[in-house]
Amino acid sequence: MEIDPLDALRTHPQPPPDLEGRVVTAVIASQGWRPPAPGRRGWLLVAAAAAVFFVIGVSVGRVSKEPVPTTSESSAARYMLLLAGEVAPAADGSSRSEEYGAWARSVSATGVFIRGAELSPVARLVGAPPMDALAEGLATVGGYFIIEAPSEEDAVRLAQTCPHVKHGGTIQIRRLL
Amino acid sequence: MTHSDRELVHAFLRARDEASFVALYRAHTPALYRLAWRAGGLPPDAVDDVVQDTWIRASQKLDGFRFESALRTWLMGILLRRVQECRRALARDRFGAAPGPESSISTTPHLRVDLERAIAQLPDGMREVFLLHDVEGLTHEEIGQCLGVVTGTSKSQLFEARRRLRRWLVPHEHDSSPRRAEYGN
Repeated sequence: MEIDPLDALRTHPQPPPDLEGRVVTAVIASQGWRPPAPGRRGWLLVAAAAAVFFVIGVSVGRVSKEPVPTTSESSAARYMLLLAGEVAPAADGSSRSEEYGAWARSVSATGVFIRGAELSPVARLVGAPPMDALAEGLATVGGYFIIEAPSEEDAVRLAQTCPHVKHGGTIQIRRLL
Repeated sequence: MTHSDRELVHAFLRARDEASFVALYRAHTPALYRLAWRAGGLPPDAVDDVVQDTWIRASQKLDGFRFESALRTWLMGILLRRVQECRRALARDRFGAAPGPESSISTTPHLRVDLERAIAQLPDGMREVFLLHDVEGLTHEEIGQCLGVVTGTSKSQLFEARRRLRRWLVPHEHDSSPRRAEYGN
C-alpha cells in the first residue's frame, strides 16, 4: 500500500471552522459554566423579534430532513421548540440571552437533553416564493431548542417554563421524526 | 497520556471555563473529527453532532477520568459509541440516505479517493480498528480499551482490513471480477 494516501488521511479532513463555536456553546449550555462574553457566542434569542405568529410549514419540513440527532440513553423522542413572535426587551434594553441560557442550564441540570441556538435576524429563502404571511412568519423565528421528552405532553410542559413564554413569545413544538 | 494532556485536563477541571475547554478542544478535535468522518459513513452534519456530543459527554465525565489510558483513547471511545448510536438512528431514519465521505472528496487525488472508498466499504468494526491503528496511531492495547475488545481481536481485524484493502486497491492479474463484487463482505 502506498504511504502517501495514508499520510493524507492523517491530516484530512479538518473540522469546519464554525464547529468550535457550536461545541463551546453547547457544552456551556449543558453544564452551566461561565457564559462566553456577550456578543461573542451568546446562546439565545433575539430579544425583539417581530410580532407575527410563526406559520407552520416549509421550514420545519426542511428541518426534518436533516439527520435526526440521535437519542442518548433513552428511547424518548426529541422535540423542536421553535421560538417566534415578539418578546418584550429587558428593562435595561439588554438581550435576554442570560435568562434563556440560565433556563437551558437548569433544564440540563435535571438530566434532560437540551440543545439550542440563536438564529440570525436575517434570513434568505430559497424555493417557491412564499405567501406574505408565511414569509413574515418565518422571519420571526429567532431561535430554537431541541429537547428530549418522554411524551409530547411533557415537551409542552417543559416549553411552558421557558422564559420566552412569559415574555410574550410563542413556541411551536414539533416532534422530530 | 502526554504531559500536556494532563496539564490541559487539570486546567480545565480547575477553571471549568471557556478558555480551558477550548484548549482541550483544539488539542483533540482534529483527530476526533477525522475519525468520526470516516468511521461512520455519516453525513457532515451528523459528524458535527457526533463530535459535539462527544465533547458534552467528555466534559461531564472528565473529573472521573483517571488517566488509566491516553486522553485521546478515552475520547475516541466516547466518540465511537456516539458514531454507533448515530449510525443506528440514521438507519431508522427514512431521510437518512446521506452523502458519505465519497461525495465529499471528489476533488482529491485518485489514489486517496480509492482508499477512502475502500475504507468506507470495510465492515464497521474492521474499519474502526484500521482507522485507529493505521491512521490515528493507536496501539492494539489502546484500541482494546477504546472499543472494548481484546488485543487479539484488534490484531485480527487489522490484518483482515489490510488484506481486503490491498485486494481492492492493487489490481489482480487473475481477478476478472469487478472490485465492487468483493465489497461489503
